[in-house]
Amino acid sequence: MLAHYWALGLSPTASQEEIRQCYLQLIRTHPPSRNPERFQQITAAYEALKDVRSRVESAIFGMAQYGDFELALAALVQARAVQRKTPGLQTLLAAEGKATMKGDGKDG
Amino acid sequence: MPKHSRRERKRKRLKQRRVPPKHLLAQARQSLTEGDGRRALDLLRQAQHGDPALEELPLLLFCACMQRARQLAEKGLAKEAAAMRTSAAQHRVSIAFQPLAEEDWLQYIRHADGAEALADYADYLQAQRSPIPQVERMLADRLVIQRCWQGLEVFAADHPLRRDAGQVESSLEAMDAGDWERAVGLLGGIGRRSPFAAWRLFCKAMVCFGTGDDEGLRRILDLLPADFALTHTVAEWRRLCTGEGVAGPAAVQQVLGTASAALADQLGEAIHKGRLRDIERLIPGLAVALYPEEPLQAQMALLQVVGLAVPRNKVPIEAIPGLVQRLLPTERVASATAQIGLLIQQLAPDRWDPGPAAVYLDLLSVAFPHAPDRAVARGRVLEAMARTGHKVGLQPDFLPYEMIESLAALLDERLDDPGMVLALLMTASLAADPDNREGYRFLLDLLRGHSEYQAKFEKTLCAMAARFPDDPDPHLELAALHYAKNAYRRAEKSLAEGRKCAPHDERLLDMQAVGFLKSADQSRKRGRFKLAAQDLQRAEDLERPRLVFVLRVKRLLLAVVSAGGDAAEIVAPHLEGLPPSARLRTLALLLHDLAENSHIKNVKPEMGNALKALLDRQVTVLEQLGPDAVLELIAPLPADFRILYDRLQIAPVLADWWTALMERLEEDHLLAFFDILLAGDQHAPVRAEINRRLRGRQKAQRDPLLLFYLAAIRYQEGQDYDSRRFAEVLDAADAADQTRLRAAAMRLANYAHGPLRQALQQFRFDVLDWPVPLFGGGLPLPADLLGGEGGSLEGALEVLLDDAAESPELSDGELVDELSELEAFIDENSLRGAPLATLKEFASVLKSSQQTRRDLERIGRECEAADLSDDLSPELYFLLFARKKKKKHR
Repeated sequence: MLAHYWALGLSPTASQEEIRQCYLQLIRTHPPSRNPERFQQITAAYEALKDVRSRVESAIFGMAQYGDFELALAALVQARAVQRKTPGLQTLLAAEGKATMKGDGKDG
Repeated sequence: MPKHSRRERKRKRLKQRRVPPKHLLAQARQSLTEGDGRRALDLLRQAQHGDPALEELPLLLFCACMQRARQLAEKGLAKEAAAMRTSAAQHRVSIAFQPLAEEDWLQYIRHADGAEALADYADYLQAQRSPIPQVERMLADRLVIQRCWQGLEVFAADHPLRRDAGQVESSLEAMDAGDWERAVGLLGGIGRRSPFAAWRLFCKAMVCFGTGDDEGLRRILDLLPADFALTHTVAEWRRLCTGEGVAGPAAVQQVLGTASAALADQLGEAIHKGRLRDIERLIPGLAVALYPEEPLQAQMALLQVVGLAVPRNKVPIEAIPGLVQRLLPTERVASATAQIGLLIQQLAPDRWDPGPAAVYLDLLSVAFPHAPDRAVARGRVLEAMARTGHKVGLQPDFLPYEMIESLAALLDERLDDPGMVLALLMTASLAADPDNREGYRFLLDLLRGHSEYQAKFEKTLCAMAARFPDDPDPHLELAALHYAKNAYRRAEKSLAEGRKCAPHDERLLDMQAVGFLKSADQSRKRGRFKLAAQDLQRAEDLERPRLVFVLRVKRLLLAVVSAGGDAAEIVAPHLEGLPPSARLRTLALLLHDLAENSHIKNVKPEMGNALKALLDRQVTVLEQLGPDAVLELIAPLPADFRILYDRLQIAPVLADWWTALMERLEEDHLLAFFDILLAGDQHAPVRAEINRRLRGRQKAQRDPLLLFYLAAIRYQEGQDYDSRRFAEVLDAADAADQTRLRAAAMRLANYAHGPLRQALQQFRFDVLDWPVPLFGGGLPLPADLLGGEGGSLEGALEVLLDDAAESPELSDGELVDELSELEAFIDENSLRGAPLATLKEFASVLKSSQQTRRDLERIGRECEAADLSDDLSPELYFLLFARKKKKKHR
């Protein structure tokens, strides 16, 4: 399922070796002592993708594991949360509609 | 503009003129806060008209003009904006800054140009006024946003704004580049009291956000001032961390990558309320927000999410194909729809339908372009169908025509024996994916106990043993199979193979000992008592603790049979040293063994009679038995003793004592006793015991658990046909009782079948009132993919009953016609001469539709009234009256 790839920061075309490497790297950077939820998410994603059978099973029936649409939707969004962006200040100001040009007088 | 509108405006203006100027100013302030510069300006002009000497007027007019100028500029009206700025500049000259309150300063800075605001505030300070921290913080925000650093020259060198500006300015490059960690480092020297302190916190917050440290982010958000410049970013973070507050605008969510969370909330809400149009509108946007690289993949995942809402009745199943068709490209529609159909069946096994699986497998190359993945996928889909069918207690013999067609397409072969459907699905699954160890185990479970499939069972075991040489299980099963067929050498060979894989597996040694006991049985039956004794000794030499009890019984049996004298005299001395429960169980098993061997020449009826008398004499021992000992006494034999005994249940030997034994039990022990009896299809004694316990009790004092068991038993016995009794129990049960009932339902599900089993498993009893659940209710797929239309049983019956329903009171002639059509219906469905269990199952399936049940009951009543019931066939009699037809005594 897509959420598992997202949780590992991978695309669904990732190879088995890429999945393994990524998992090993992630559990080093997110040890259970620091962020147990994230660690659990990474481990669950890897369990679902670690071999051909579980990967195929996950691709077809992965959503059923949540048992409910609300949980499945939350899992999808949470998995993608690792893709949070930290844009530059100018980008952020533009999105906020704050003028950066001198004399424009927009409120701060 | 229409005339009446002009008049309306004039009327409003006149009305406002009557408002005191002070009130107009307050309204103007409010409009400024709301961002309505035009109205603020209008109100201020009216106030000016009323009292031109008002002190606050120049400041508010300046703010209103600046706000309006900005709004005009945003609309592209440059000339008008410039005129408004000129007007603002004229008002600015008239502002008296020295007496301005803190709130007015903030208002001014909010609208003024950065450099001008700095200059004015510096003038204010030079007049020996005390600094206003909030104003300085707002100026700091303005400096960072507008970068008007040269404006700071008017401040003293040690002023916090000027002092810290250098550090902040040098960190801007890192902030602009999105390198927030470096920016935090560069702002290290900014103190907590500095006007720029909020920016250091903001940089830290961004680092926490980026690394997913929501706890850290939440702590920082609590420290950030409420009016910090990047309001929307802070609001979005707050919503993300705490789930509270309003989401930031879409542009901010987009740059932060959090747009998906807000859209997901909306989609969740739309699904919850079943708003299909909103669902369709939100999915593409959310897909892009979630996965801009491949939004199609995300759309498919989101459609699957919508599919999961079907079992909860949030989205109608009929809406799914349309949604998929409108959102996905044509080549993906059929495959995606079928996949959602498979998912729905996983959550709601009662919607079992091979149609979606047939379509999905047909288009497997769309989802799995690589051949090895495709083979595994085929295996998984077929296994899922088999497992779901097994879970729901599928009755393969009642499958409608279109499902048979779909199954034939799925399996690539004609379905000659529908009873084999699940095993065939699993076999096909293993052919596609032969490395599926759990799949083999499941297939063996499906085949186990069916003598007609013994050859297939053995073949599967051999295939599994060859495929998994490290697994002793298939060898163990093969050994059991060979022992059962008295093929001792082959059994020994299998055990030897098993020991090669797992030398320390205790089960292999147990099986070998059981094999010796089996061999001893054979020798005893043939009268070769010496050989039997030798085999028993061999079994004893293996020192298997699990077999001590059975070994004792087998030795006693050999002694009784070989001596041929008074069995009680032979056995009694061997029982003396045993504890009461062991004594009773030994005698019970001995009687059970004798009963199973009663057809053997050397087993005489007197032996059984003598031992029965001996057992009856032990009735006084019952008083000494605790609840655990009672359960131990009637517990069935372990499954691996099936080689030795045809029936593992020894409870029937003690049937005379059941009532006395149950009276000694309460709560869990009693339920465990019920379980043992129900596993042996002994409903009547359980019902009698429950009725005994409920008799004479007030309704409120009745144990809901017993009522629940009673409801299940009555349904299973055919006394009830709906959920009414279950609903009564559940309605009266509190939360704690609900938990107990839920656990009881899971236990009872093991002994139930058909709709009741499904209801107990899901703990939802309305299924007992629905039309036949196993026939349809699945995802509507194109008819050409599913093999066309077909009829179903209840459909056929409904057609038959329709005429009757139209005329509630049938004439005798019509009734006879109706009955002959029902007799034909029984013939068509091959029910003539069917065993009672089959008729019972068939009746329960038919009567699960309330309408059908009512119709059948009405025909039954009319039949009795017309005195026609004696002329009915036994099968139709059972369908109409839910009881066997009594034979006429002549």
